[in-house]
Amino acid sequence: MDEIVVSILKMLVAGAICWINFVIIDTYFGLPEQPGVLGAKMIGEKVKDIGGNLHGGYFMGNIVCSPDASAGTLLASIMNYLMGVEGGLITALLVWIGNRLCADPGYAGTIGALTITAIISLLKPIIEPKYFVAGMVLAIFTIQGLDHKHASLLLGKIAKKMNRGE
Amino acid sequence: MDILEIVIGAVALLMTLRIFLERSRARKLLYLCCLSFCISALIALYVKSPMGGITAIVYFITSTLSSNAIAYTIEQTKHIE
Amino acid sequence: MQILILYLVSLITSIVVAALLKMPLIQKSRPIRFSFETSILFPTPILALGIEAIFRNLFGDYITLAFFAGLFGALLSKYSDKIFGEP
Repeated sequence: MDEIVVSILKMLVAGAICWINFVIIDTYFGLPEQPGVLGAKMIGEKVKDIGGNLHGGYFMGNIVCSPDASAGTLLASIMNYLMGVEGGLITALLVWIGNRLCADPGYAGTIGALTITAIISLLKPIIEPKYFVAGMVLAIFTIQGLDHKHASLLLGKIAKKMNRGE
Repeated sequence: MDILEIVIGAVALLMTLRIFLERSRARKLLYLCCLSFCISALIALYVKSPMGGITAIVYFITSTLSSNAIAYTIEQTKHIE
Repeated sequence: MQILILYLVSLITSIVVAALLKMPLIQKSRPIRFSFETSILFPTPILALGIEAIFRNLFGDYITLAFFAGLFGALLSKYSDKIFGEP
């Protein structure tokens, strides 16, 4: 019983680290600023129709339409769990190729993969990499799956604070 | 069954339910993206080998490619109507 | 220790080959975060290290393969516009 509580706690801490990592990197590389592809523009307008923020909607549309720092974080923690630090390097290469196939410059995906590799290798003695996999699923669930209106308002506020958008 | 797989599976089931209940065709794509994250994580946690990781990466990137194409098509057909 | 030397060889090779191909040190167009150009600092070293990781896990520790990984990384970075098409 005690073991389950400890593992749930580790999962929540790992999820918070992943959330901060990918939201800051995605916002810094300008995801809320402009829709990179046409599909992201459409999703941003649809999110605005239900009362959300337009720039937060662009952020969510860009995550759907190309593998950004969110994908880099999940895939790098998967490969760190299976192969160690070298897996993070392979992830950065494959995510860059995927980004270019989706007509995206590819800064956010590769740098997100490399930073989460550094964080995981620092925290390895305390939190094992497999908790980061589940934590990242919970982190993306709070943005894409829970409540689109309030998530986009929060993302728009963060974008305004970091001078990206508006 | 580990606690992690139970949590990820529960999120995946919830997302499947919400895809059926959501009326807007564009916002289904947001839930679908979350479902791809869950499936990719489950592939890696069940197939514990480096090739399983490569499979998870290739699955995720191709699913975003198809989402990209679908969203682009919805935007294009809006002008025709 | 030997693994570190292999990665270092591919890193240095990629940077030298990229400099010989006359790539810019950093992207010319501003702002950098929306630019599709490739440069010596991004993404050439990352591509070279990723290719070297794949080669090492598939074929083993050979210093020749590390050299070729750096070469392929620089070429992929230089001709990425022609491979993936213009945005």
